[in-house]
Amino acid sequence: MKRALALAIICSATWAKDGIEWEPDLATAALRAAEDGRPVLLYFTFDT
Amino acid sequence: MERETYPDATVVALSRKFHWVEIDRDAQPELVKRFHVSAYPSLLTLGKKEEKVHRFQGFKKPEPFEAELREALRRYDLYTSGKEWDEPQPRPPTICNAGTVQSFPAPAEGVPSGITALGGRYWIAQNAKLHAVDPATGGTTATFDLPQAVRDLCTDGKLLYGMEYGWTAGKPIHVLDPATGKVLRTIVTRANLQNKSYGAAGITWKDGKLYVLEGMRGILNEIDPQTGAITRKLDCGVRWLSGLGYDGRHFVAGSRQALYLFDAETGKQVRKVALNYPVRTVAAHDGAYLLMEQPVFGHDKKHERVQLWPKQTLVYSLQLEAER
Repeated sequence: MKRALALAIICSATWAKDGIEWEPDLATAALRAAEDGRPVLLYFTFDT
Repeated sequence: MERETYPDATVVALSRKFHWVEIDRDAQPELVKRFHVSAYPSLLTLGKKEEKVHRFQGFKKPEPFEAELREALRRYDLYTSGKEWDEPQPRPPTICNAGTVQSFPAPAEGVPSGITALGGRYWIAQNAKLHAVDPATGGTTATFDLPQAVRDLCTDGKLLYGMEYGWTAGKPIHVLDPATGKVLRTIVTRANLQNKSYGAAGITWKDGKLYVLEGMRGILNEIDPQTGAITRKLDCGVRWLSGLGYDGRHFVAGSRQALYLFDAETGKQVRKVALNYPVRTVAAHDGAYLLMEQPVFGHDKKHERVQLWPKQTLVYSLQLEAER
């Protein structure tokens, strides 16, 4: 229940840019990855 | 990436198979450190315990970018199935298929930074050390400290010349005594003192002149060894070269994919031989080409930077077959 609630909250934080849907941070992405089995992909950049 | 690659329809479709997180290096330096990121952009696909599943870096157009995403998914499938997912890509058993190759272990495991032949010895620079090697046995007969790490070596038949990577920015060529390893004098190209970019990738000797290769631009600089003055420039017409030798007829230089022979008068390409491994340093000796690899680095499953290839640093002697 707690996990579902947490997911419900963070789902709203997902945002889209350049066609990609971005998670707000690594912890959130890891949580969602554990739920649906899709891997986390980190994009390291600068001057964002 | 944001302008050209991410908006591509196939990339967008593939992107839905991942959970993407953008990490700005300045905003989250702790993640840069944790994952040992030193190139931008870098894209890391992670396992459930943050293991490296797949990792690549640098700008890519949509098609090669999609190939990387598919490779990441292939590896992730192996990972989730409990199978080995991080086997290095196999590579051909020899550096070149167009000739006879002999090899022996290099004097050290450091990145090669120069090879030449003088006085019945191969001279090899690695990690600011100069090694003399007996080509018959592969054994090291002497090791000297260099005053500075060099980017390539050559010889005029009596002395050794060690060129710094920053020659293009006015750094010197060191003239070395092979008996002692001591610097006898330095040669500075004064015209380069005003430059800031480093990019010298090879040096060789031909008919009383030194020739320095600007590897990225494919420019050969003919240099007066007494004054350091540039007396001529030749455009090879090939970029991203590494290492330089002279075989008595042609200049020879390496690259990530090939060995090139260039006309000694015009600098124009006369032959290109495919190589299976990237080359860092080249010399010509006794009808053969001496080659040492550019090491390939990557990251292990814990994101530590490791040398992937070669597993052992070797000196290759390549006897090219005649051109068909």
